[in-house]
Amino acid sequence: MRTADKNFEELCYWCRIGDVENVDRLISKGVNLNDIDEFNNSPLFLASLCGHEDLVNLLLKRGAICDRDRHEGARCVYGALTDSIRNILLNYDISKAVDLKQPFASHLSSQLNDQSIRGHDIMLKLANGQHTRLHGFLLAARSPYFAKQLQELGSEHVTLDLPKEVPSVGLDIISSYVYLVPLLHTITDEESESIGHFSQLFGFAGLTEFLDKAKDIQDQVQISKLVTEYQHNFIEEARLQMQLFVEKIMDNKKTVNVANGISPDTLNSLKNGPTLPDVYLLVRSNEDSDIGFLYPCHRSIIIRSDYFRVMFTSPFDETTFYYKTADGLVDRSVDFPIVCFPIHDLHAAELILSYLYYDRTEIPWDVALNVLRAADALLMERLKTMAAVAITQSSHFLERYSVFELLDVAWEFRVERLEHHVANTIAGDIEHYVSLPQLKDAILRSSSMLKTRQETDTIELIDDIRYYLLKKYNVDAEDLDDFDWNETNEGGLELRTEVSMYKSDYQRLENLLEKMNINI
Amino acid sequence: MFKIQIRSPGSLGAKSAPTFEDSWKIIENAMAMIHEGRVSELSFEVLFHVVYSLTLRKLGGELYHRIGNALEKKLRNVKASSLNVTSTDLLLEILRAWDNHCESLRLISDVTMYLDKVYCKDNRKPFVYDMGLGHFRDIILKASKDQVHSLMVRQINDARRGAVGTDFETLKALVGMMETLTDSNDTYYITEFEPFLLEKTRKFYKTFIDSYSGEIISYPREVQTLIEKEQEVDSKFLNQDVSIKIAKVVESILISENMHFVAERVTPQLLENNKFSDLKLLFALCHAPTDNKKLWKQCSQYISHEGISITEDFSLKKRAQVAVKWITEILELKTKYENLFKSVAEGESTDLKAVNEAFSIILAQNGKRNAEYLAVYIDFMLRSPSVAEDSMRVKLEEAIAIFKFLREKDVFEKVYQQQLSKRLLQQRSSLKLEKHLVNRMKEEVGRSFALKPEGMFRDMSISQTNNSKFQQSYQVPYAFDISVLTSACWPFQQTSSEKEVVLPASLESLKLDYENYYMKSYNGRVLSWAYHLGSLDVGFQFKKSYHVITMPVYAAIIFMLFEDHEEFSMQEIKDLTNIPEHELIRNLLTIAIAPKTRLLKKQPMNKKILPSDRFRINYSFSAPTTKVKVLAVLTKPESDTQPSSRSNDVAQDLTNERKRCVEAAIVRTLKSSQRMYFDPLFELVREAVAVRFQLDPGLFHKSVDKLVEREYIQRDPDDGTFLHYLA
Repeated sequence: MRTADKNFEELCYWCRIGDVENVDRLISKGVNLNDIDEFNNSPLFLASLCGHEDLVNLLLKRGAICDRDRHEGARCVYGALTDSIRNILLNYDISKAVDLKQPFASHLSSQLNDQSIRGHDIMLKLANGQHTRLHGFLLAARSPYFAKQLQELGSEHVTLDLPKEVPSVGLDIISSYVYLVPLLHTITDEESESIGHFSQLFGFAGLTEFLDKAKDIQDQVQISKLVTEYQHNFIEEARLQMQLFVEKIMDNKKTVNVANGISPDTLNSLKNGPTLPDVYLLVRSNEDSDIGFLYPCHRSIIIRSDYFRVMFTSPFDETTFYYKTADGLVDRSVDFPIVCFPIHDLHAAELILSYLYYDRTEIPWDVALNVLRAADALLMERLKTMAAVAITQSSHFLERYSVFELLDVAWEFRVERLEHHVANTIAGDIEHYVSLPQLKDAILRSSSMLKTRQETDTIELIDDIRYYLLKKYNVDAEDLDDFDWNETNEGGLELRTEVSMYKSDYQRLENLLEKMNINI
Repeated sequence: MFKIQIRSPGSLGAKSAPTFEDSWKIIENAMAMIHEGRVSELSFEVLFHVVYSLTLRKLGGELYHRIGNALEKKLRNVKASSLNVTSTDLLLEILRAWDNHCESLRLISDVTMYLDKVYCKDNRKPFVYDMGLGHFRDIILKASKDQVHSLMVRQINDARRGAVGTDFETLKALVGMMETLTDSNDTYYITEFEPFLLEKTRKFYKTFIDSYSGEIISYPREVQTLIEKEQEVDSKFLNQDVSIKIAKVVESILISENMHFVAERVTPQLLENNKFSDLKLLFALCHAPTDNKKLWKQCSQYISHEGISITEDFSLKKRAQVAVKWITEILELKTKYENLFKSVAEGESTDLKAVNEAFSIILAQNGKRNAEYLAVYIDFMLRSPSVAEDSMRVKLEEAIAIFKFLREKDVFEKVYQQQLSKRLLQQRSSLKLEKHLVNRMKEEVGRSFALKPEGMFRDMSISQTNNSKFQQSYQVPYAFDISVLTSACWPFQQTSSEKEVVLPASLESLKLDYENYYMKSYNGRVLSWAYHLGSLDVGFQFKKSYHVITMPVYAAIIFMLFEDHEEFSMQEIKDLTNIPEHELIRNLLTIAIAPKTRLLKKQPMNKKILPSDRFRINYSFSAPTTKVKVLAVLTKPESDTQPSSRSNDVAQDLTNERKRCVEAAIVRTLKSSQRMYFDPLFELVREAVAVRFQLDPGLFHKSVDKLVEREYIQRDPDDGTFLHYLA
């Protein structure tokens, strides 16, 4: 089972350290959480062994399995560092495990019966008249068959008749599969043949494969193992399909000149394009330019941002564009609104779209700052954290920006992780930084924030730097108290070097504060 | 060509940022349009970005302040224009204003999301929505607080009175509004309205109580109806956790605070009229522990009154009948209330406490009499041959339940032992039941009680064995039954007359043989004969009929004198028999004067026995049955229903025994602690004798004095109340 996946190795590393954000980022890259490393350790085992409760919760939420009847699960429970973690693991119910999954997948599932936007714009109909309302773009993204059918149908037609051989259970299977609602455990042996039939027709590759494999297996344990595996596979399959779909959105974007207005033809060609959009996102190429790009997007996806959610659920002008047909579907014959993306960086904008559609969290350091700003404006906390992670992970970032610029960003957008990163960087080369006037300035600003925050009676920046100084030399605050500076006994030599180096760094900071007449 | 205009400012923090005032105008205008219901004309994107950039530019504080002012101004306008009505319309107007305000606030706070998230969080200000609610609370609601509150309560009170057409929808909406609004760390409902509502509820029910005009006995039903009505009314506009508080107030007014009425007036009436289901209801209503206690106490008091008012029926001839009737009535009372409270307080441990308390009080009245009556009752029961053993056991169990309550158990013990001894000697009761009873009492009060009765049982069974053995070796020609009694166990005074009573020859030989036999088996023991306890069957042919007469031994000795002689004087009889004089007189009275058993004729014919009186057999005696039983008359026949001289003896005995008991307890107690003050000693001794009787301080004092006199104990020379034990 062992994989040489670099991402998985990294994941295991962060599980030891307890870095929730980095683990979250990696999971969204599609790393298999239930894999094991060269020592047979699963990420969940590492997290529980090292006592990272938040991380254990995240891993379980994202689909890590703790099956106590199997060796790996039992090991997790016995290895748990704290009782609290042990209880979390013991309370974990494997029968519910299939419901747990990636954020983008949960979001898709939630849209199946969503009542707030009701962006359903396609009706699937069986020969017997049974029908269900779905999102056309998602059908197109998840199935080559439906992509073709819908393209042929044209955007004005909203009812799609299914082939006669699709049984009535088919509607449920199609919507569950397309929306990533766990369905495998519901399929009975009798149904599997007919399902396999239309599954193949629609190009549901993962489902077809599963049915093919399950056919010959009798053992229930084996089946449930297979179910778990494929439930995970479906998500990764969907992630890939959504990625392709986003590429299609990118390919179909239209260049527009804002100053001249946008012609209805442009909008119509977008609307009738292969992505079946119901909203157009406008991104300007740069601040001053009138030239921008229109991306054919979907409300059901972009409402993952609270900004867009409110925009499309509150009765402001933006919602007045949408009407319902007699069938309760979105009327596609009218014009859809253009909304602006609060960013002038195409690269960053496309990254954000990728995040919205399939949880893409790999953010190159050079766009991370823009992504961070936009995520803040779009009220997307998790993406903001991911951007901050990208910044702290990159060694190049501080080659282009100064730490003080980064500190400004950290303060402006309230990202603690970046504040710590800055403090860590300053601590790393305190000798250099104490000579810079910007540090003085930053200290003064940090102390002025104290008045409004009133959480502690210290300057946060100084506290953080002091903390990272300790870390830098691997010194324990308690060691300092009983350390005798004059005595030279053996064995303590190494420690003393560390401590004295720490002391001199510490003193540099103290001297600066003294000069600034700050006494903390 | 039709062109779509892009209305968005489109840029973040653009280099030529608009002034604050320009931006504020956009927001102010938007707020006005939202109030007018024209939200669909507004672009969320534009407004959000205005707020966003102002916040980023650190102008959030000013924006927040302006929004607050605008909301305030708007509310003042609303108040001035539509809230100066006074009738119930005011409530409707307020609700309408509330709905509008909430809707507007919701939309405004959509626009100010970023301000909330950044400015409000950092500065610990309430979010725009909550700030807006606060303004509504202060400007609209608190300003017309008194009016709103009293209008609401008026409607609620009308509904309580059963008026139809109360607008519960409005009330419910108003309560919902009050629960949404916060006020000093809690909801407005809790801090402002609820205290008022509770106070008014209190008043409403207080008025009901003060003017209560219904039947006292139907009070529980009325209260039940009121509580149900209140619940019904409350459920229409309050949620459960707040209506519970009202229910509590109602209950406390109708029950807890009205407990003197409930307990002292309602409860006795219910008991008197046997309204048991209503009583049960009342107990359910009085579920608060203190109320419940009071109710039990009242019931207990009622029962004890009823019990104490059961009087002895002196119209009955015999004291035993009086006692039996009285005890029977007490037992009936007890059973009645036990059954009642078992059903009233299902499964509660207090259920029989009230009954027990009551009976403890009832039986504490005239304790000596009760103890005696119970003994008499038990005697009566055990002597009733017709009762089956099982039902007898039930009856005895009832008697024991009463026995537990007796404070002066030593009195009972005395009487009981006397009667037991008679029953045993006369073989009038089932030995099995007697033993059962003794065992039960032993379980209740301890071993010491059983010592003497068990001794009696032992004597009886040993005597039986001896009788049959004796019979085998001596061939006595007639039936006899000799009981050898251990004098310590039996409550008889030893008989020792100076001269040995002269027995008829046949009896004399039996006596000598038995003494002979007995000494062989039990060497060293002294037998002394207690003739006055025995009886003899004598057959005699009277003129008309033959009778077998069962009579006391002394009477038989006298009667048998006439086998050989026609006539004796009393003095002659005395000389011939050596029967002690008082026994002689008593037995002569029995067989010469008592009308039904006049076996002898007396000269002269009067009711006094004098030494010169002469006696001869009354041949004309006849009786309806062959067997005749002669019962020894009491020396004072008229004292049948009054404590007899014999019971005076008993009383004397009792006093002596109590003295002994107290003295022993004092010595025991002092011996173990060597020295002690008077009062704590009294307490300890009181506890020590409580199983048998209640310690009287006078008796205690006397006993202490006596012990000091006899130098068992010593008073401290400095402190007379401090006592020392002398070894």
